[in-house]
Amino acid sequence: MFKKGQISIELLIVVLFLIAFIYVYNTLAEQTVYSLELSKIKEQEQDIALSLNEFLQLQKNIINYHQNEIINYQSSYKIPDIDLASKRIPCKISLSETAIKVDVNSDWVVSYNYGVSLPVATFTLPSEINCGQEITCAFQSNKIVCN
Amino acid sequence: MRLNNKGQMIVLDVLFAVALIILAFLIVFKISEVEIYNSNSQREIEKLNRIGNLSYTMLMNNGQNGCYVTDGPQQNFFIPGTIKTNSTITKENLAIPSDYNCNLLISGVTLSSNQCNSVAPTTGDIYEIDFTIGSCTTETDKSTYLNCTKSGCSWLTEKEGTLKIWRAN
Repeated sequence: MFKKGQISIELLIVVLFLIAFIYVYNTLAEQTVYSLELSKIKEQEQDIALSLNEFLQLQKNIINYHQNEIINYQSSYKIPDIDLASKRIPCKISLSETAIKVDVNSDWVVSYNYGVSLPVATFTLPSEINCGQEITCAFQSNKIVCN
Repeated sequence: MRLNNKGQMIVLDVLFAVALIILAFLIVFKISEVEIYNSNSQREIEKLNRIGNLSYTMLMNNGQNGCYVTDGPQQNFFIPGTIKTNSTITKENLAIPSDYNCNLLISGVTLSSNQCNSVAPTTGDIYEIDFTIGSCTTETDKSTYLNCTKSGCSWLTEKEGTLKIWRAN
């Protein structure tokens, strides 16, 4: 027959195992969700950087088309937001001659750096802009001035 | 809880259960890993496609490389979808990032300067587009251009081209 003490020890082992299992499962589930969210954020950061670059690059053509400033050219683009299923993530975009950098600095710290060529001779760009904002480019003195 | 006559749990059942749980974990992790890998590689392909589409648009609508019709001094009109043979093609004016390589070939046209002359790799992801483009050697005047649109001419000739873009290693 079994002893009473033996049941309690085995019960303890089972309980400890369950606790450890729940802890490990919970941690791993959280990490998986974090990884997936990170991947989603990165995907949207890339989309923002690429679409903003597309918008700016296409503005270059106006310089060649309208060298004599025969029209008041102006074009706007609303930069998308970064959204997860549960919330909207604030992000900042740093613009320079050589790169478009999208930064998320909240529960997640994720940066996406996209190498571009936006020469200062052609563009006047804001150094920083937030996601969700509208960027407007106008053709002034043979330059594309964006705000 | 079932105990045997020595007061011990049936260890084999527990072992099977633990093994199944570990197996389930491994499957879940493997699936997650594959999903993340697929999503990353999909992202790279999406990026390549967008760079390619932008470059193609820049090539077809680039006033720096295109053909012009003149109508008096300081009155030049750009014709989209054309390329001048003495053009300088750079990665910059096709909006191709420095970490990507390109190859632009237009049959029967020797461009003055073509930075897009790398040899495309045989493996890996490559954006490739075949297109038809008008080619000219010089500008032309308005009346010649108008005649061209009506009855065709030798000023603008139709050429076949291929643009390839890929990520540099």
